[in-house]
Order: sequence, then structure tokens, then C-alpha cells
Amino acid sequence: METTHRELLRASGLVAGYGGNDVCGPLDLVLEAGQALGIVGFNAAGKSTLLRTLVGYQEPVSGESVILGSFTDDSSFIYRKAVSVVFDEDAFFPSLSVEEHLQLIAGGHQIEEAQAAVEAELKFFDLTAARTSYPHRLSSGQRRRLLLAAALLRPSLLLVLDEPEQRLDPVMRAALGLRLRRLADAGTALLVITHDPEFLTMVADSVLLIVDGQVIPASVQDGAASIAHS
Amino acid sequence: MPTADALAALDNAPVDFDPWARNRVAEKLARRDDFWDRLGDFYITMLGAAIIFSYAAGLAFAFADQLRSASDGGLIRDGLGVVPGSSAASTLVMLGLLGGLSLIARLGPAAVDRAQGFWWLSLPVVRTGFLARLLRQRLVSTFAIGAFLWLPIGYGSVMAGISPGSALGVLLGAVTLGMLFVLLSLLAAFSQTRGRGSTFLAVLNWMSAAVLVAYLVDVLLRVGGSGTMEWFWFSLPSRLPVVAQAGAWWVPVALIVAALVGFAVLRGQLQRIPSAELISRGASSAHAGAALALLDDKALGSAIGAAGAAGAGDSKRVMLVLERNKQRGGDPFSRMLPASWVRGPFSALIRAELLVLLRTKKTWSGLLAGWSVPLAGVFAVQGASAVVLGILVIVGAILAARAASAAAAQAADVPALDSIIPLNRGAVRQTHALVAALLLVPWGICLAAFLGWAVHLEGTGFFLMLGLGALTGIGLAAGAVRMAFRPALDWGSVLLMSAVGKAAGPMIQHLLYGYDVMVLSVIGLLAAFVLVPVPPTLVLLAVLVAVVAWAAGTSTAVRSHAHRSQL
Repeated sequence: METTHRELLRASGLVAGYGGNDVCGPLDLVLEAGQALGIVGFNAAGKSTLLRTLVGYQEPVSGESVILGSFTDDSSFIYRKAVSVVFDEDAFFPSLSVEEHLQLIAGGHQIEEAQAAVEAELKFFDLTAARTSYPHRLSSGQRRRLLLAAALLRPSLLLVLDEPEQRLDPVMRAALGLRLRRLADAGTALLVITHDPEFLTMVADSVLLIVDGQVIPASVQDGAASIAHS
Repeated sequence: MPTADALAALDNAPVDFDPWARNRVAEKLARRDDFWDRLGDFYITMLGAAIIFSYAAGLAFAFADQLRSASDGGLIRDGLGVVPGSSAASTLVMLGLLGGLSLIARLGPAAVDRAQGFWWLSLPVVRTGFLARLLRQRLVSTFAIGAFLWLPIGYGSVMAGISPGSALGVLLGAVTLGMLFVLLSLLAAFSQTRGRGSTFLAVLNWMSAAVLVAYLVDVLLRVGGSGTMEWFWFSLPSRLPVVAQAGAWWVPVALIVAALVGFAVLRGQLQRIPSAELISRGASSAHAGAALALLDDKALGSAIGAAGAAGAGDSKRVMLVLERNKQRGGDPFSRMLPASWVRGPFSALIRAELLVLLRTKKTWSGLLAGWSVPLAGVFAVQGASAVVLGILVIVGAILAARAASAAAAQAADVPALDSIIPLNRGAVRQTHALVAALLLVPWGICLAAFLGWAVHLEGTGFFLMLGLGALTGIGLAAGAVRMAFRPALDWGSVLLMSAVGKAAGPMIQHLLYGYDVMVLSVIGLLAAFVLVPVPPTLVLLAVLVAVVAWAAGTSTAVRSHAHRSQL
């Protein structure tokens, strides 16, 4: 298949950081369709900074990260169609219900049979009972599930998730891990930060380990062991 | 879920979808029940605006009346009060416009809130529609603020007879100032579309400095009798509301046409503003809005300051300076105050706070602004009025004290910083005040020297004036610390007190917390130039005031029921 070898992201000499100060890098990376890359490291190692820089949400200190061959940020429509991102921040419209948030995403991406897709996500993330609830009525775990539902509802070539397992119960964690693995098998590229060795093992097929500012390619087993030892 | 195969042929065309319209339908349904609540909010807002207008108009009238009577002569030595009121007012309004524009540029004007940033900006849709609507909302608010600001000024100046015009003229002036604010907002938005937000802010700072320099040149020209800068003041846009108030109806009309054309041109450019810029400005606006809602001017200042810093970026020059400092083992201030001087917790805290203050640009600009305001007043014709000059000295003192409170404010925001020093809370608070005094005492002496010279003090009187300046600096330092450690308002208590009609007092007390001690500290200095020659007993009184101010400013006790206890 053509897409399984399609290069989605290429980072060259990428150094991530703030205010001109290095946090981690340099990194040379090529991410292709169907590849699931885990990013692991201690707290404050720079995982989120690296992820934000990789997908163009933050200016690199040096080097570059190019998505879909020519894009460095989300200013193009094709980028927004192809890349789905959830960082560890939540924000909701106070007057929109759970279902209406998802309908917004379905409409904005012109998903065919939008309502059916919304129903499927509500069911998968166990939000059916809360479908008419407003965000302030949701628990923190439900809010997290709503964000993940929005990210998975829409089509994407590259799915970027910052600690998606956070605030999820073990059953939901396992279901999410399985679903992400299936997505990768179907050709979606994944970039996932995680602190859960089981989740990493379930989802990723390679790992970037961040240690003392160095970004080191590692096997999933080494990545999982690194998390376990931390 | 479509597979990657199905998405292989992605195009770069936008999806035809309007998230604004989608949200509006849902939000309308959700808000239908809140109609009466919203009507009540609107009524309260209007009532509040009317009360504020009444007070502001009264103050403007009284101030304008003072300005009119000041030209009869007064405190300042002959030949100094040379700049006419119209030029001074034009300078003041221009600085106000630049300040307003700086504020607008820091908070947007093109911005999205967090929810819009996450849910709307990620959609592959053309953003022009909803960004234009959001910008339009802000422009309307900006217009309303500008117009409302002019009403008391215009009304007061007409009532006091220092400016021609009628009720209709005041309205024309208000529309003009409102439209000027709109045009300036469009200019700021245009800088966002070009990714030049930080450059734009820097240009505004330079323009403010240029206006001050022009004022100084005007003073020198007039004192030397070699001409004036009148042409300059009359060419500034800040003159336009006055011109419109005098009956030039075409001024607001021209500004409205310019704004409509500007908006139409800008609309097509909105798509160019990066997501990060929109989200960052939106976050700053939310921070500032929350601070306003909580009546916290300290947090408001932090929000606006942080917004400027967020847009500043790291220029090559800054990076070079950082690298050079690294090679030299620190910046000039850390080399001036080496760590080897530290002998204990007191000196460690003093060194750390001094470093913070000296490295903070706002400290220097605040101290300078604190001098500039009374200086500019002395050289204006109306500066001869004791009331006018007194108000300007108080404003200048507050600006300087706020600038010197930067280190204490940082410590107040992060209580852990104080707790890592092995000193009790009272001693730490005294140290904060001492550090602020190290800057404000010399500042006060310099101001007193200038004022003493301006009111023709000589000999012992002049030296007594310098002493009063030093005592003012001590009191201001205490006021700065008091403001920095202003306790948070306990809204629960306020609501309980409001039920029995006793909330107004504590609320006013909260708003004045810190400023009360600052104003108290300046009283000695103000009395000195009214009572020329300075009576020696005034210095004794000023010592007493400084002691009281110091005790109030460095106290760690909270006696108000409206405040939560301090950390």
C-alpha cells in the first residue's frame, strides 16, 4: 500500500526548548504512516516540549520539523485535516453539551454519517449517559474522555496524544490502547507520550527515550523498563 | 474510522463549515432560560456605568475648574510654567492613546479563548468568518470604552468653560475618541497578521518616549524664548476629540469611514494570524478579565505585563547579551552585588531582591515615569495650581512605588520564596520594605530637590525639603510592600456583608489597600510646597507619618473581615 510507506513527519537536527534554551535534542526522525512512536522520560525531561515542537505548535530552538512534506505549523487546511492533537490541557464551551462538542468536530471535518460516528464515540468512551451534560457537570475523567473522543472521531493521518491514559480507569485504558494499536495497524501514524509501561507496550512499536536532554531511540521493551524503573 | 488509505488523497481545500453558527444554535438553546438573569446583569452594568460617569464628571469638572483658576498664578517660580494647557492636554491624551493601544496590542485585538482555540482552530475551515466576528465584538467594546472615557472629560471641560462645545459637541468628542480607539485596534490587529506584535509594542514604547522628548524640547524652546512646538501638539490625533467637540462633525464621520475601510481590508488578512498568537492573546485577555472581575489591580498589572513578555520573543541581541553574561559570570548587576557579600539571611534576601528590582525594566521605567509626571506639570501653565501639582505628585509617587514593589510582589505571589529564608514573616516584610526604600529614598530626594527649586526654596528650607523627600521615599516603600501583600478578598464575607448593606466600606478599603499608605506618605511633601517656607515642625510630622506608614506597610496582621488571612 502506498500510504503505509508515506512519510508524514521528518525532523532534522531538531532541538526543543524555551526562550532559546535547549530542553532536549537534537533529534533526527522520520515517521511514516502506520508507525506508532512512544515518547518516554522522567517528569520535566521535555517530552511535551519535544512533542509540541515536532508538530509545529512551538518554535524549535534549532533544526526543523516538517509535516506532510512541506508544513511546519497548522496554518494550512491539509495539516488540520491530517493531524489530530490532544495535549494535556482541556478547554470546553460552557454552553455546549458533550454531544454538541462532538457534533462540532464531526461537522467541521464533514464526516459522513456524522451522528452515527458521534454515537459510536459516545458509546466507546462511555459518555452516552452524559451526552446532554455541560462540561462543568463532568468529572475530570469524563472531560479527558471527551477530548480523546473528539480526537478519534475525526479522520487523521497523524494522531498526537500527550499522556492519553491519564485520568482513565484501567478498563478504558486497555480499550484505548487496543484501539490505538488497531489504528496504527490500519495506517495511522501515532506519536504518544505515556507514563504507563503496559500502555506503551500495547500501543508503540518504537520509542524515543529522553534522558538528560538527549533523545535516544530505543526498543519498546527498553522504554517500558525505563518507565518502570522511574 | 477511516483508514490512512482512505485519507491518502487529502487536498488543501477548506471544509465549508461555520463553527460560530453551529455554537450559536446550541448556545441559544442553553441560554434561553437565562434571559431575565442577563437583563438584570445589563441593568446593573448600566447603573454602574451611570454612577461611575457621575463621579468622573464631577471630578473632571472640579479638576477643570482648578485648571482654569491655575492660570491666575500660584506656587511655581516665574518663567517655568510655560506650556499652555491645550498642549499639555494634547500630550496627556496622546500618551493615554499610546498606553491604550499598548494595552489593546497586548490583549489582542484578534484573539480566541481556550475553548475556541482547541475546538475551532483545529478544524480545516476558513477562520476569517469567526475571527472577524470576534474582532468586531472587541472593536465595539473598545469603541464603548473610548467613548465613555471622553464623556466625563468633555463634559467637565465644557462645564468649566475651558473648552468650547455643547452636549452634542461632547457626544461628537466621545464618538471621535471611541473611533480613534477602534482605528488603533485595527492597526494592532494588522501587526498581528504580519507577525509583528512584539515590534509593534516596541514602536509604541518609542513613540511614548518621543512624545515625552517633544514635551521637553517644547519646554526648553519656550523657556529660552526661541519658539514653540505648538504645531506638533496640534498635529497629533489626540487633538481630534477636542476639535470634534468644538463642532467639527466631519471628524468622527471621517474616522468611521476610515475604520470601515480598515476593517474591510483587515478582514481578508485575519487568516494569516498564527494559532499560537490567537491563543496566547486570548489567554492574556482571560487573565486580565479575571483580574478585573476580582477587582485585583495587582493581578491585572501582572496579566498585562505577562502579555507583553509573551509577545516579546528572544531577539538575537538578547541572546548575545545572555551569552556574554554567561561568559563573564553574570550580568553587571550580579557583579555589582557579588554573592560573597552575603553574610546571613538578611543580606541574602536584600541581595536577591535588589537583583530582581535592578533587572526589571519596569522598575526603571516606573521610577522615570514617577519623575516625569510632576516635572511635566511644573512646566505647564496649570501646574501653578496647588491642587493640580499635588495630584501630579501623588500620581508620580504611586507610579514609582508600584515600580519598586516588583520584587515584593513576586515574593507575595509565591509565598514559598519567603519561607525558604530562615527569618520570621515580620522580618521578611521589613526587608522587602528596606529594599524598596533603597530605591525610593534617592528617588524622593531627587523629586524634592526639583520641587524645592521649582517653588523657589533656598537655604535651610531647601534642605528640609530634601529631608521630606527622603521620608516620602520611606513611606512609599512601605506602601509598595503593603500593596504587594494585599490580602485576597474573601468574597464569601463580602456577600454576607452586602446582604446587610455593609459591603461598600470593606470593598473600598480593599481597593485602596497599599495606595492609602502611599498617599499618606506624600502628604508631608505636598504640604511643604503649599506652606513655603517649610516649617521645621512639618519635618517632625513627616517623621511621624513615615513611622506610621512603615508600621502599616510592614504589618503582617489582617484586621479586615473582607480579607482572607495572609500566608
